[in-house]
Amino acid sequence: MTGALEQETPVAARVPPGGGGKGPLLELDDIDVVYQRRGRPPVQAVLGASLTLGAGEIVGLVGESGCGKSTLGRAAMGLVPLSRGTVRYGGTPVEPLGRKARPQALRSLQMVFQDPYASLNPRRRVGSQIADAVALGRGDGLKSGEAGPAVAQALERVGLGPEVARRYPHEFSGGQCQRIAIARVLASGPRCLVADEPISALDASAQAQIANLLASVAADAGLGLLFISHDLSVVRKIAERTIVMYLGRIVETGATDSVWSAPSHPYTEALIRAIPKPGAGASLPVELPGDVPDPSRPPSGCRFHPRCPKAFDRCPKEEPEMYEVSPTWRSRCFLAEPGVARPMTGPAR
Amino acid sequence: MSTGTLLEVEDLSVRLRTARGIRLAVDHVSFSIGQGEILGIAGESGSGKTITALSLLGLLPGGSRTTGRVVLDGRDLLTLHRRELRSVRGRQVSMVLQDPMTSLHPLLRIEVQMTEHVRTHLAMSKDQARERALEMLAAVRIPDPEQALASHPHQFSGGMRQRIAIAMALACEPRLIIADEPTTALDVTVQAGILSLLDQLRRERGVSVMIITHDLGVLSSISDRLCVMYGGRIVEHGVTREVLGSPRHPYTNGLMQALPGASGTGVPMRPIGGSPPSLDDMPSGCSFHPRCDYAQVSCSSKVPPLRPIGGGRLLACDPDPLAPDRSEPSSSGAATSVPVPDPLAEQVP
Repeated sequence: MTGALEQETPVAARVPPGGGGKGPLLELDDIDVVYQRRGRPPVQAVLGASLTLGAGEIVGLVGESGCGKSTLGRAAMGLVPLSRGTVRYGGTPVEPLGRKARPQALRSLQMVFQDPYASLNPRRRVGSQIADAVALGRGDGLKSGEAGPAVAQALERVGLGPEVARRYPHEFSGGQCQRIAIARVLASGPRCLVADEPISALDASAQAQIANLLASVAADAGLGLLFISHDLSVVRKIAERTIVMYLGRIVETGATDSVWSAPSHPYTEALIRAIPKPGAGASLPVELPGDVPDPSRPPSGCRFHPRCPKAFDRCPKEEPEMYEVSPTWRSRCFLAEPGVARPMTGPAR
Repeated sequence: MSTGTLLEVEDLSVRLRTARGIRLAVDHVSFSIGQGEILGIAGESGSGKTITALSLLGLLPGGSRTTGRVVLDGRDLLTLHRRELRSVRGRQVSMVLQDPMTSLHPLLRIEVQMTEHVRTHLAMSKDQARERALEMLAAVRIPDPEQALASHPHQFSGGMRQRIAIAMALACEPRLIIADEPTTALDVTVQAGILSLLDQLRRERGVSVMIITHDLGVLSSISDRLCVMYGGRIVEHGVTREVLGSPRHPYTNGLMQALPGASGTGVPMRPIGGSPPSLDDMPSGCSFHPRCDYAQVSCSSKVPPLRPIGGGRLLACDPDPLAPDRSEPSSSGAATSVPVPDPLAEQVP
């Protein structure tokens, strides 16, 4: 499988992608994704999720495994069918491929995958794989001799030398392979990237390198970047906005600074507290008891209430909406509901 | 902390047979673990940390050669016959691996997996072994141990599976648990639970733990002492709080700088450049010198010995640019010498 999503029919005219600067690049409006399972209840992997991503903006999407963050990323790419809602990229609807080719306008919406060894073809030289992406980005094929400089340029953007093009993926470490995969995606001339756990398979020093690299190429080229990760501390470093998901629901969204320093949702707070603290005088991180419940049978009311240290009598009965904490900050917790007396004395367990 | 030495490793070297010849994967490594102590081994892929662990129990692939001494309770494990070694494995030393889905047998009920080795090693009856299994599952806080015994691995979440793997490792009451990246595959919230479990086990049962990971945050929260490995050698060794609080080796310092928690929101992480070396391509002299900001000419020719620097700390760096009595190095001031990472906790209300 290749990282760049391929198109079969060449389309002559290049549609300017991204809607030419007005409005968001990528827009998910109230989407549901339901996985049907034979003989078992369906799983609502994503429920009523909305998000927008503008050019040059880096948005982090975090949550535990099974929270639906990867499904949301795949829905944004048009890789899973929606049960409800719409995904639009520069005004073009993003839908899963049928027998038709992917619309030309979606070519500049690309994805970076978790495992670079799996997303690169092990039997082809790095250069020829990147040349494919160059040709894909141009849409009108590539003359011989044109590929070399374009490939070298793509490799240079990720900090690799041109000699890399002649080698095979297995000759490189995980971090270098992820650089190659990113070079290939960049070679196709994207405007918007969805990166699904792009650093979690990498070594300690490579994680920081790749996170910085993605952030800087996004800033340099004015790309929109949806950075999906379970690692809140990395998202904090590179994303301007953070979205937190729990069991298919977006539970908090806001500026990374605010969300990090004063999390409004108890789940966000639990995620931050669970991060081990490096350095002197460290203590054990705080455990969030319990497991993520079975998504086919979500708890009643607020989906987080069985694990929530601040839950009170209202939480199992009704589901909270996204309440406004500030104009750019929303939280799906009754404690953030405006004008409602907070249970300060805390019937919390 | 420790009341006596349980395991003493002296001058351990491991040669592996690879496709390109014999390679020295572990180079004269020495360390000890006290009773009830948690020793951390930090390193990236190719640092030799996993090979070190496997060599202690004679679990290396065929064709590899191990020299040195591995003394557990006065017996050198490297001189034992296979049969004797087998009774050490599982009985006195057990392992917890990274991925509980692959270390548990997918087709066998938990009861079968949890009682087989107990009956073999401790000559227990079926009923006794079952009792033991229930006790261990309760000790690792599995909610319904009876129900768990009748279940298959896929019926549990990742965190629960790792708890079961730890319960299996505990069942023969080992003196030492070797945990190789035990939380790398888990969410931070679940990781926090596994770490506090390991900490509790050593306090209540006096089990010693050797925990191997590339995550310095994990080590700083749980380990008493740690070894930092690079290119098959120990480069820095000492009390965790001191080593991570004021790293002396440029590699340890670089790893700390690369951590997302080491600076504030939006400030880019400072990764170490380059990649860890592979066995086929080990640099001469200090194997870290090509990536080191402080490297001098002599670093490329002479292997720095691991020498005491006071306070029980060991360091393998001859220029020792991060020594506290030294002013900033004039050759290269690329990295500040002593990082003081902000504790994440103070950001949480």
